[in-house]
Amino acid sequence: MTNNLKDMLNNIPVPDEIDDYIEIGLSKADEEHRRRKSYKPLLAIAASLVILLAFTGIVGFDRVEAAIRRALQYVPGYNVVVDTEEGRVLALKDQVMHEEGDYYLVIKAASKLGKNLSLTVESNYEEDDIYLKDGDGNISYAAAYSRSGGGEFWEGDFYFEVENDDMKNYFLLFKDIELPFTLEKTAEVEDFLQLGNHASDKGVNLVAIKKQLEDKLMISLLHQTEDKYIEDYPFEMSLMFAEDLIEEKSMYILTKDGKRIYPSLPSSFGNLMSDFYFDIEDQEGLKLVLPYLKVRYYDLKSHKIKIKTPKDGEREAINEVLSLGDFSIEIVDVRRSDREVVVAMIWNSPEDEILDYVRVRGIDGYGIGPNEETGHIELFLDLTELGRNFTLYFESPSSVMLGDWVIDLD
Amino acid sequence: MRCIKIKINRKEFEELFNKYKTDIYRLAYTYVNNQADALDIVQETAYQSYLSKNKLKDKSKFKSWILKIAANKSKDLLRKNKPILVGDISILENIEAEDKASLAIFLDNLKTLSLDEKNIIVLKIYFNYTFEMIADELGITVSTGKSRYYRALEKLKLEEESI
Repeated sequence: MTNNLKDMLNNIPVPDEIDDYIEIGLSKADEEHRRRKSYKPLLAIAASLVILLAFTGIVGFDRVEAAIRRALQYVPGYNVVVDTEEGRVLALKDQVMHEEGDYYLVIKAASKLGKNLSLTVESNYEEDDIYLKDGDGNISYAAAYSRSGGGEFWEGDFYFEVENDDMKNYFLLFKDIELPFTLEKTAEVEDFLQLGNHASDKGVNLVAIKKQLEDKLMISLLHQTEDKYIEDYPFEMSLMFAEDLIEEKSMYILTKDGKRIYPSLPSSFGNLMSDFYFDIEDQEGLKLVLPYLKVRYYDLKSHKIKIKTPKDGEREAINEVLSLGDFSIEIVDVRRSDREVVVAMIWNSPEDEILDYVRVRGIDGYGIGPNEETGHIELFLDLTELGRNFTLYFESPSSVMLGDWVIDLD
Repeated sequence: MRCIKIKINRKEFEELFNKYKTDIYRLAYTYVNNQADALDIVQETAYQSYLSKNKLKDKSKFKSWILKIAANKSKDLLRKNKPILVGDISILENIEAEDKASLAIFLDNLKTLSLDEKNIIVLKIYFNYTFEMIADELGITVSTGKSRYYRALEKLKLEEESI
């Protein structure tokens, strides 16, 4: 027998049952496909709750999105734009939907600036590529897209480079569906704050636009900031470790008689605008209160710390502080029980901010959670992943920025 | 980026998957060192890959895409479960006596590798990565990658190959 690694690995016997296992895997996937297709479109709002937490599939997206976002402060559904110096902006005239049994495909928003056209599409069809056909029959591929999957639904932003600046009539091509949609010229405002009632604090301007739906009040939020990346608006489900440290975990509507109405669901997501639904009818004297905003600091990174893997049953004190901008993470100690290695940390935040989450780097897999007895946040590592020593560092913290944004909704 | 539209039906997918099924199984076995878990990983890989087959934009990347899924599934399983250290003597049943002994030793030695060492072996052998590509993928230096690889060969009691 050979003494070569590749040959030795190729000699690992493959059992005959492998085909049965493959068949089971594929059948399970078929079943899941069928299950996903059996949901009603009315559940779409609930699905976006999951979408918020499961952002995946970004392909060449950041660059294009940033360019379009810079050029447009476009408000889907209202068709107004801020700052039209970049050129003429067209936007979706009406949302269009294709339904076929239990499946649906809806164009939620569209905007076009020059030869750049962006589409926001939601569907419960199995994911597939999306193409654009113009009124002259020219077909475009998505130059970039971002698609998020949540439960039985997905929502995606697709960016196309089109031939004709003035064209208003298009078709979305998806599987064998041709869904026509029309763009119209948008209304224009000179200033972001003209879009609706607003409030400012901590260098962040927030605008709220309200819309009465059948049984809910929809509040659409937009923000404008020079130097911060707003990750989330206040909603309990978007909190991680700061959840227990802040009293008011969500935005709310304050009625004239002091009653607080919390949002039942967020709908859309992303930075251009987010919609929130409240179980209340529009009335006089309503105020929207946002006690914090979630901010992410993409550029922050700590230095690295090398930790010696302890022996079973041992605990080693470390007491080293890693700085992350104005935040700091104190590595208190490391202990080991059998194959589990636990690093205890204390997270420190500047005044008016609470560190909510931080990305742990240097190791492949980990668990993270609070220790209620010690108050530490603990990192759980599997011995299999570690050598005699291992390296840790932290980056891209997300924090809760406490503030006072109260927007009059009258 | 330009998306190339490809559609794979169940039959085509099965054909593609079957073409690489032995690689998938052996990759999984390299990580988990037992037949039962390796078969579970094959099943999970079939499930996950078929479910997300539309994310594959280029059929020529099928092999690396599917092996990546299998490698991730293997590592997930290692994180969740403690490694099983009992050998699978049954898998050697149909091997000739002479080869059986050396393969049994090899499989035993395979269990002694750390996850870091297994990662490098998998990238080197199944993905055909160079040490530069391995270093880039794992965020380590080329010399660290090489020393881990040679340490693994030593543990496996195999000769250094011309690489």
